Amino acid sequence: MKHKYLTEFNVFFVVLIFTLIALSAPHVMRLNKGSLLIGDEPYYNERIASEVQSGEVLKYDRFVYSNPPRTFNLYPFMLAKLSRFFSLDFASKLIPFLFGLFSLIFFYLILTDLKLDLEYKLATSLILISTPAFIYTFTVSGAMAAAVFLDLCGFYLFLRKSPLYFILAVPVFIAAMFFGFLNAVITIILLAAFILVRPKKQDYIKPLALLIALTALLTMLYLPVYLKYGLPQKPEFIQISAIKTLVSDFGSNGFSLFALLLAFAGIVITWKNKYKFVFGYLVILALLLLLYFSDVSIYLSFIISILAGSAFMALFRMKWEVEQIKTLTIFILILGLFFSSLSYIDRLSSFQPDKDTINSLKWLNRVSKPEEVVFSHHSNGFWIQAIAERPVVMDKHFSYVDADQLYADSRSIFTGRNLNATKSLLDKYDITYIFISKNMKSGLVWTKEDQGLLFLFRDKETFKRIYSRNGTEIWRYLQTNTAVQDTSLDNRNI
Amino acid sequence: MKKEYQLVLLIFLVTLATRLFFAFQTPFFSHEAYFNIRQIEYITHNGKPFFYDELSYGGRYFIFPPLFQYALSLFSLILPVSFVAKVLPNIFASSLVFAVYLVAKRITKDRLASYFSAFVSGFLPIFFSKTINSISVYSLLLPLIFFAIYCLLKIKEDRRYLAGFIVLMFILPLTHQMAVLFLIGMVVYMLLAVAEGIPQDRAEFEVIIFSAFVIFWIQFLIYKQAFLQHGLSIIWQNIPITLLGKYFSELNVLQAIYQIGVVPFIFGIFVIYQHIFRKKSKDIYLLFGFALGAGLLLWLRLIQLELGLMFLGIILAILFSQFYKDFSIYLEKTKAAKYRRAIIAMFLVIFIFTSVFPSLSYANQAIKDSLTEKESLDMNWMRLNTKKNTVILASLTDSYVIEALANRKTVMDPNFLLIPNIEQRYSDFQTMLTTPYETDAIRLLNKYGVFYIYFSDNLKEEYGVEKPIYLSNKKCFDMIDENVNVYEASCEVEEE
Repeated sequence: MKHKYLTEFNVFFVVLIFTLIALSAPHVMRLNKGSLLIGDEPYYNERIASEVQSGEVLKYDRFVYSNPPRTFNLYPFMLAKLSRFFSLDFASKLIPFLFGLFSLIFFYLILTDLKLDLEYKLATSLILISTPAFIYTFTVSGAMAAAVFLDLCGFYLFLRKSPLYFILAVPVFIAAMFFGFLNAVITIILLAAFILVRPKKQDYIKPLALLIALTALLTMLYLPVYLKYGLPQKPEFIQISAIKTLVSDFGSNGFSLFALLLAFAGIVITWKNKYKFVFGYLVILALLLLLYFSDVSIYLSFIISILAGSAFMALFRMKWEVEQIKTLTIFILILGLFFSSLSYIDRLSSFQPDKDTINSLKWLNRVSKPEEVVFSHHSNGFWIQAIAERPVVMDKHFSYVDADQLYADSRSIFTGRNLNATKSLLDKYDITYIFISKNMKSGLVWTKEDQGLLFLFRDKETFKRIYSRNGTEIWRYLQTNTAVQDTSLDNRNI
Repeated sequence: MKKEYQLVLLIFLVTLATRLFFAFQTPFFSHEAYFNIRQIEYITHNGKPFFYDELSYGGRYFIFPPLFQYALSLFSLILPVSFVAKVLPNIFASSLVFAVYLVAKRITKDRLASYFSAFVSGFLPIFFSKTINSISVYSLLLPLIFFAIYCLLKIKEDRRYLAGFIVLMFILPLTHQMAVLFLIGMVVYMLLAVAEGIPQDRAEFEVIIFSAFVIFWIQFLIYKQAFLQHGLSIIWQNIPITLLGKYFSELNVLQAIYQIGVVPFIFGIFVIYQHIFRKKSKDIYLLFGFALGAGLLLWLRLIQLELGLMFLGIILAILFSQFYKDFSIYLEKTKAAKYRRAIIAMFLVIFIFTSVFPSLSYANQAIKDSLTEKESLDMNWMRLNTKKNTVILASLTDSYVIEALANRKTVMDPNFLLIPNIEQRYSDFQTMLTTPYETDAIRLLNKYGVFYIYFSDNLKEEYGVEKPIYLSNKKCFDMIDENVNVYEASCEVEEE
């Protein structure tokens, strides 16, 4: 029996409201922490967008050792365009938010086109909105937000029967090719899976032509770079664990355990109609394989939420012998999903950088010269480049640098206790400053106080601490024959 | 009161009396009990437990479900804490006989068999000894689990047990993290039922799904921070690798037989064989599911040995009732029927010798291993004669006692969850206690801010050292009191 409030408009409205809340909550919670951007990728994108604004977009990244080549990505250009009307900071928050909102709308419309009932659409959409992968992708400014939006838009247009919509879908899919190699590959995989599962009666010529065109475009865009520099390799030191990547409760930006359990139950439930859901299974398989290379949870989130929605609705619609147990079980499920996403939003709002990191890097920018290299853990790379505006030895882009060598040398600097060996590595990379963030001393790099470089810091002739506040430190490497001005924060009032 | 329940009450009272007899042999508790003593006292005065402890590890956060401590502190409002801590856990533990009786009677419909099971469960050596004087949360957890099993068995017949089951599903995870044992047992039972083609009651299936979600969700809420910090290795509670073997020991069959008791072990296993592989009895499958779940976890070393054996022991004690019933029926058909009473008496004697006596012996040992008068005086001395807010280096066994009675900080104690860099810390801890090099020792003592070293007999036993060599340097290590064996560390390593 249909509830009188369960109308298309009401359901859509509720879904929209929850999306607005979920995507704005992390920023709202961060207001009292300085309203800083969340994570490091937004700062990287902002830096490139600044270069676009100033008209000097380089083919190489001069802020990283060995100046690796850049692969084209349209996202910073979008940011730069929008920053004509707003600040870069605000644009970095607005764009992913809008992409998230419209992605949700297109997802909802796709579910409608698949003729799913209202309750199912409501459950699936709410599960999607509550997944950390969704919240993260559309809160933290990054190219994936744009790519996902374009894919959803493209598939929505694709699924409509009219040829006009197909024509509209083509430029949308083409645009999706310009937001990074991985996103482009996933778009092609999704399209290929779709063609494979299409009913035989339906026309496959047009989708196949589109697939070929996109593949050709992908080749044209990225092949010259790969021919010249080779395919990007995943560094050996990056160990991706599927469980840790997928489960947000273990610290990732993936999915809550409840959602995954429901999704697993959804696979079991839908298995009897496996031919109807084969697209989903194929996509899951492909994306799980891609997990080895990068975090593709956002793409999985749509399939996972559909499967989890199936399981939820099956539980909801199942005839229970004990009604009270049904009510309690559904209630606990909803609470579990809700608390999981609430907890994630709280965690996300506390992501680095914090005010201390920003202030320290701004200070470094004031006291250092533009060409002076800063050494730190690679996870701090983007912030140092964007805020301190100084080159680093290593950041989180591992393509076209000898990442394993850089990582090995970094580890040697961090953990070595031989001063001469450390000095020779510091000289190799022409390092002037060493940035030590709080988390580096709490297990990211060191687990005890006088380990490695921290021990060598005792050599006052080689290292001078010039900044120390709230656990963040900046040390200067006193290279031989370098006159050092006393710019240390220790001796000045800031 | 019905005569039936009078007899069960009698068994309960006998069990309780025996327990209290041993528990009151000493005014003190086992060393690990003092963590709970502190929590109970704190809750009594402040209305809530403390989750940040400035004494443990020199300052750290805890996570634990506090229902057990709340239950004890409720009574501590009107009675002394030490009295409540002696009596209440033993009442909880003794109440297991009711749960076992009810489950056994539900399965066998035989009163005498059920009395036997109840009596056997009251004197399971490992359960008896581990819960007698240690304010152990297992004294509440295990009876609750078996009451939940009883409710699960009765739901089909009487929906009133549903309310009880639902309440227990919320209480269990708030008592101890090993409430998940109940969940695993049910899942294994469901899988067995499907595999063996045993028709499952719809209501049973529904309550299992419900309890899975509830237990899982509550545990997740409580341990969320620990999951974030430790990931899946939370299962091993962040215990240092070198100590893992001590906490998650390998299952030794002979040890299992002795600690569970020969009678429940052998006859319980026999019943499993009879009813799983031959008769396919649904209720026995349920218990077997629980036993198999616990067994698997033990074999994979995912639960601590003592808990696994306690749980298995109780299941086998219940299954013993089925053996007794089957045996009685068989006996009636034979010529030996006239010797029935003698045979029952023989069982009783065997049980007394193989379970009751070992229980008493283990209990006696547990009492001897409790805090001694001398240790208590040492703690009192430390509280009065050492500087406040100072760190004392002592063995893991003594640390809870130092925190509770001496009110001083410790370097390490057996609660490892949420402690960062635990391997490094434990390595430093061992080095401080065993290194022959004074500089290394002093550097580490400085690092952890250690002012005093308490060199107790427990420390000597744990680390097999008489006294670290560096303690003979009287300039840096002054023995403050010979009787107490406390040294004051007064040197520092200067940094160049």
